[in-house]
Amino acid sequence: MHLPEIDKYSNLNSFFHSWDPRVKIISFSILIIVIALLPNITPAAIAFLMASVLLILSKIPVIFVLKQLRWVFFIIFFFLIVMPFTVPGDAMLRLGLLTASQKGFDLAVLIALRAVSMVIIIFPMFGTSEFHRSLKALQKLKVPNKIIQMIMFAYRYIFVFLEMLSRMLTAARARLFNRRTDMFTLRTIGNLTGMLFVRGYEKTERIYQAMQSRGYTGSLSIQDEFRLTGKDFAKAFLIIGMSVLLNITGICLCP
Amino acid sequence: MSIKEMIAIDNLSYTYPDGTKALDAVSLRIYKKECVGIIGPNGAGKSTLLLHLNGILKGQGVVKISGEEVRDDNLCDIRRSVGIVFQDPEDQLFMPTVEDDVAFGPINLGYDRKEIESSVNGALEDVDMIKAKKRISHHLSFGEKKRIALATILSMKPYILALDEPTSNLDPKGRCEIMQALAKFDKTKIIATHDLDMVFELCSRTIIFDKGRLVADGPAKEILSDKALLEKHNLLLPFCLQR
Ligand SMILES: Nc1ncnc2c1ncn2[C@@H]1O[C@H](COP(=O)(O)OP(=O)(O)OP(=O)(O)O)[C@@H](O)[C@H]1O
Ligand SMILES: [Mg+2]
Repeated sequence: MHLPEIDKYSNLNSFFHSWDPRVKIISFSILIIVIALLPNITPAAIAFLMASVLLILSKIPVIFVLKQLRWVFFIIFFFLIVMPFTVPGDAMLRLGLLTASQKGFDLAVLIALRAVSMVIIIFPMFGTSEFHRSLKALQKLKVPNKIIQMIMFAYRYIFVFLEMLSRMLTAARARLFNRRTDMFTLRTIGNLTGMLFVRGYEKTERIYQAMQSRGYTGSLSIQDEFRLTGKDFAKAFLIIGMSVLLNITGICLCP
Repeated sequence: MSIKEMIAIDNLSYTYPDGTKALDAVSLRIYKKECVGIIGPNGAGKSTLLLHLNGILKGQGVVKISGEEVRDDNLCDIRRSVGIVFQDPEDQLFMPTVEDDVAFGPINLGYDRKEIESSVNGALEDVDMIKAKKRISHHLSFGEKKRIALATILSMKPYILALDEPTSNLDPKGRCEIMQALAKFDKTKIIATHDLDMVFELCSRTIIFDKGRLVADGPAKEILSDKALLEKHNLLLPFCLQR
């Protein structure tokens, strides 16, 4: 079964792997915000190139990233198809009653470039440290404790739940259950989902009991082991410098 | 009341919200440094009893831990004294890495950095898993998870250890390793289990539960060799006593 492990390649060794996760998260966040605010296509294309280069530098296999991003591509593709026909502007192409506008098309391309660049950057940002270290870094950066706990438990137990689901599906298949389009299939899937919720609920109850037994009263503190060096700041300088340049390009090229 | 009375339970009854009566007027004393095996058929109420020892469940009746009644305002102290190891290690290991997990209790107890470090290392050494310290919890094997689950409690240095089926689903080697780790812990122990051979080996005293009631209580060797009594409660002689 395919498991969503973003930190699958965190044991490699690259420019970004050795970077202190706190500084890494801040620097990349700035870059992501700058990209989100880019006003037109040329700087967005540059941003896309930058993101690709950063990804290659991180040594995370491109195939892995493409696989993780298939749903993002799907949504972007949808934008590219729909937006030219829905944004009013000079006609670029006519298909029967429908008119595609140049403006709509440009806007769609801009959104697509920005979105793809931003999600690509997530990989050098979070894929180059073990996930629990990124979480500790987020905690150090004063992200609210509740949010950290939510992410942490979601990440810890997603594997357990997927395994539970896969075991139940295997058990159903072992009794010759086949997915078809009929009422019986629907009912079975409904029951399985229901079971998954009930089991999930009972499981969280037991986990909560185990946590209480060990003195949990609502907030969670994890030990950290970070130490900053000059190299961390040099890398931050590089990424933030790139962000600033990108921002300036965006402003200069704005019509 | 003598000082050595670690656990005192009087007339404890518990009914689950769905109406299942799991404990029925249980009274019980457990003394310092005793190792007590709690046995009985499935659904007898063994796990339910353990959950009462640190106030996770609250039934009718009185539970006292070293003379102190379990109340809402002293739960913290009670949980520091009574460590419960749950049956399914998947429920117990909820932190990202082994180290974080074993440190979870000590951090909540407010230990300082040095104490946390030393109690984590000590606990991992007790279960012979110090080499797994930096590993990711969900990548461990089942037997390793069981041992780490034990370590997460040992690191809190409880003086009563309550274990729910510590040897279930383990291969013979894993079972042996857990039993060795348990033998090392020299404070009060309560073990709910179906593994009568382990009880025979580790426990000085055995209690049989059936349908929420305490039905027998005595020296382990005596109870475990009483074939008629065991069979009456769906149990069999330990393998080491069968011919
Ligand atoms: N969360 C729950 N809700 C309702 N009933 C429960 C719950 N947990 C346990 N029970 C019921 O309470 C009774 C005692 O259960 P308990 O788990 O304490 O037994 P046990 O002796 O630990 O059994 P086993 O050897 O199977 O682990 C059983 O009849 C069980 O069905
Ligand atoms: Mg049980």
